[in-house]
Amino acid sequence: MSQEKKSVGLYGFTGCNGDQLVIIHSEDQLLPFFDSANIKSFSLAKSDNDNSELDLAFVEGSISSQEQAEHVKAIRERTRYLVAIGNCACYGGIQAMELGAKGWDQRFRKVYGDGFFINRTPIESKPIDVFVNVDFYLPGCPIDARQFFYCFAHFLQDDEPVFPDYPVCAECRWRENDCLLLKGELCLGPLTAAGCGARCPSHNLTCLGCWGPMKEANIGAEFNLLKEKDYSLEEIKRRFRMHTGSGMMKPLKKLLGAL
Amino acid sequence: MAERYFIGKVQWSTLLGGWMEKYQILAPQKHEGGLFLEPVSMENLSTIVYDAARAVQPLKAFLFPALEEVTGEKAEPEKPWLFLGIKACGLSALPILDQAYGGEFADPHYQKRRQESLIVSSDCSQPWETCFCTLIGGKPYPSEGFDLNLSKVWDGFIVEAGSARGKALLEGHDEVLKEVVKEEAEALDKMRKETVSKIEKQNKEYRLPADLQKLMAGSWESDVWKVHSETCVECGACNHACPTCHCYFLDDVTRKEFVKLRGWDACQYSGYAVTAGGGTPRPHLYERFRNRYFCKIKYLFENYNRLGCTGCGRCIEGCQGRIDMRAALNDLTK
Repeated sequence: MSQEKKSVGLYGFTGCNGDQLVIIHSEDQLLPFFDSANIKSFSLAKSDNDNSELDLAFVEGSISSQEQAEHVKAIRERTRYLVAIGNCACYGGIQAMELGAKGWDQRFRKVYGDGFFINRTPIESKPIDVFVNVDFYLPGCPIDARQFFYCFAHFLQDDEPVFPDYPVCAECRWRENDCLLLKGELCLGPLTAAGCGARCPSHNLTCLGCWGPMKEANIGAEFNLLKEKDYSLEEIKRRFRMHTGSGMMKPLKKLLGAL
Repeated sequence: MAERYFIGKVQWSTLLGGWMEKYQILAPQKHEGGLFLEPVSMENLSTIVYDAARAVQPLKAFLFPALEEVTGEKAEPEKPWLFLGIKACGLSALPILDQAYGGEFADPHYQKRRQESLIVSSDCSQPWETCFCTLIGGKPYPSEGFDLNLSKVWDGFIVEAGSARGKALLEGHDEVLKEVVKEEAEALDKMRKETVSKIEKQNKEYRLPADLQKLMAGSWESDVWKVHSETCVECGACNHACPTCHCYFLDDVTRKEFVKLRGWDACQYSGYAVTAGGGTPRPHLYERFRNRYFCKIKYLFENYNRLGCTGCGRCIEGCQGRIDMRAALNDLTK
């Protein structure tokens, strides 16, 4: 193609780098991936990263320090599109599950004591979109390689990728699994966005909600359903907040306030 | 009266054994959670449950599978299917699928499977709690749509041929096909009447008008949709379990070559019917919920001249939120 290649950057903030690892692990896609764009920055894969102008930035991880917040703002300023990849970037992830009701200051002190941080001012961990505008969300813990390359290919063509708002239940039925919720287990399938291919339920494990909340999910109905099945409020809340942090907790708080 | 004979159970099993060579026989077997259509071999021939009630899987699970590749060359199944023990509620779903996947834009995959397979239905005698065929104008025994129908009577079956292919199946087996005697015919009528009254009895709290179209016509603005959809978790089980639901979703997969997958869709999902640009005709849950009822009772009836509900009760059985189609329709009459 005569068209100029697009400039792409991949960045990681607070998280396990699992999403970048998924990309690196897609060996059969790596050559076309590096060939189809100018990969200006890929912190997990290469060392000669620069801060040049970008067409497309993929950002993984949540923001948990003042410095990271400034960095992500700087990335936003020099990129045309910004895509949040992985649950930490999209919803805050496990580090944003707000466990323990005593507030962030006390939780932080409990873990880190009164130590000081060099070149870093810690703040409460938040998803990317608290600080910058996000053009597209690609959830998952970690992301699915197929979804990533689909998304990547679409952005290279200046096209917005489309992932329909389906719950995990859709993919679960495509695999013809038995319904775990019907068996009385604490499965978050109906509340969770599809994309994983119903990996866990296909191995008879309940859905943990690692793809984040499905748009328009009826969280209240599932919450009441699980309570009827004799799960305690604590258990349900723990499962709800585990992977999606604020993503699921916000609507749940609204609901509990109303109950 | 159509062509019908009495056949002993042992003789019937022998016939089945003979058909195994030519057909992949699928028949209901009892497991935890209900009856499941499973491949029949010499080992499980004796445990086939003929009468009882409908299986967990609807026929569409075979004719229009949950997920399949629709591009490229397809691996051919070794033998055509012979479905055994399909109930009337399963048969009455087929005209809808036939019309949806037939006609001007016929689906070759569905058509091939449908035309090659044979259906040996049977009378229902032990309906599940969720069964309500009589409430919606059906009967627990088939009158059309089968190749052969079996009615369990005493120590054998009354077998009725419903098609030329069904007749052909019985050809050359005159020695085991006996004339139906009066007592057997009476026993059959009694059994059928008993099953009908069983289903009527378990649904006696629900009363639906004969003209369901009129009922639906005045119900668009009803509160029923909001009230009954309150406990819906939008898992789509009602759609997927339904023998007449046939909406599908196409997905592209890049493998060595381009592949298109077709999977079951569900109108209860917020992503259903979303257009380019993100618009949706049914943004609220109650609207999607209402759509299912209107589709089953009104739209399918108008387009295919058939109710989309056969009263099989699978949507009730599979629902997390304990939403009951009977109760919702019944509340519309109030």
